[in-house]
Amino acid sequence: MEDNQPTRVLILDDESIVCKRLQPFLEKKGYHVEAFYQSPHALRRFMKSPFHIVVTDLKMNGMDGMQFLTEVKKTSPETEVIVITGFASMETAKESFHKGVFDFLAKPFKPEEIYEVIQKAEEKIRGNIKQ
Amino acid sequence: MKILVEVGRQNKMESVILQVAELAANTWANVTFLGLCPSPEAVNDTAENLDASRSIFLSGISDDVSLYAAHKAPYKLIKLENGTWDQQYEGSARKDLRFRIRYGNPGKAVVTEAGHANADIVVKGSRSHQHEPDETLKKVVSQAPCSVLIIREETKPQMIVCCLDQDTVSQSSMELINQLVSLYRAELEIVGITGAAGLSSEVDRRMASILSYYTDRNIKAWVRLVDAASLKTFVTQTEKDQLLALWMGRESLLDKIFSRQRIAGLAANAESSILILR
Repeated sequence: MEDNQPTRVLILDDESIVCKRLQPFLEKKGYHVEAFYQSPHALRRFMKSPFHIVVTDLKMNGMDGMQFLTEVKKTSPETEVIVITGFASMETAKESFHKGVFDFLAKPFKPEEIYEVIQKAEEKIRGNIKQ
Repeated sequence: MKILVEVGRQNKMESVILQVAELAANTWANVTFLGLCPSPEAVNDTAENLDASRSIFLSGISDDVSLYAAHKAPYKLIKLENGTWDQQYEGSARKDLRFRIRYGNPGKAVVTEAGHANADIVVKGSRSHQHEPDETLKKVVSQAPCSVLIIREETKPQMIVCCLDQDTVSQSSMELINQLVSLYRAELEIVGITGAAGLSSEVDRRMASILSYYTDRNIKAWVRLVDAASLKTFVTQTEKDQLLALWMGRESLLDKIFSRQRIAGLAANAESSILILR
């Protein structure tokens, strides 16, 4: 991640309200944000050009967030993935942890809360690059 | 998600804390426990009570992902300003588990801390059939800046009954219900409140969208209509194994029928747990 380039964030959630709420909020914070409602579209975009940070919902039709997390980590292990979910359970939290999730956030959360997590993910990415 | 748990002065309400632990483990929530201190001289007793609550909470978390710092080391009490103390434990973990003590008016202390912690939900334990609705509960229900969950001790809801009489339902309140459906593996009854002219078309549409939202996600949910005239009876007869969720917006008939002060009275007497949604 170059210091003068905005951090690229991909948001995937089939609930349009989440994307509509998060995208402008994060763009105001200086991120380059692209939002998707369907995982195949998001995955195609990611394969074409990986993002630094992915924020994905868990429960979606077709490819769910857990599969998306797996594909993202396989393609770009340095990408940090934040899972958000409306129907959290201990099992899904643990599974995403074992698949290398950076953090797990249950809805409801305030945009500031995800911003804090994204900042921590950025710090980790920059730290990894400097090492 | 951020949860604020009020720990009463007299007891630790073990079953309530264990339900909070399960919710926190599911959602990887940041959790603050608030101890209410009757006088500055009682701060050490309050700290001991919080320490015991912490042990109960951690006993309900299977910690193979180091979710919360679980050191058994003694705590330190750090005096802050305005009758507030931080109770600090060593160690760091993935999520925050904080302990705060406040001295002063208990209701005001909970409301202030809910704002300070930016909480999404305040959790408060309550015994059924209290003689008087407690003053803390009144204040919290009427003034908390977020949703409030009043858990009836030793109950675990099997059904969540959501009362709706308006179409302005916040996204965060919908999401909170989702998490509670997951936590309790509960079924969901969406109750539409009809006036003299029947169910308004806006509420009808909103109910339909909420119903499909849940059925699309394989949650067992159904709708039911209740006449406004019998609403009070309906609410007070909610059973022990149910959780009564009330959307109380400014446009809400519920807000008119059950002022927030009266909800505190209802919470003191009802058999069920109650969720006030904001």
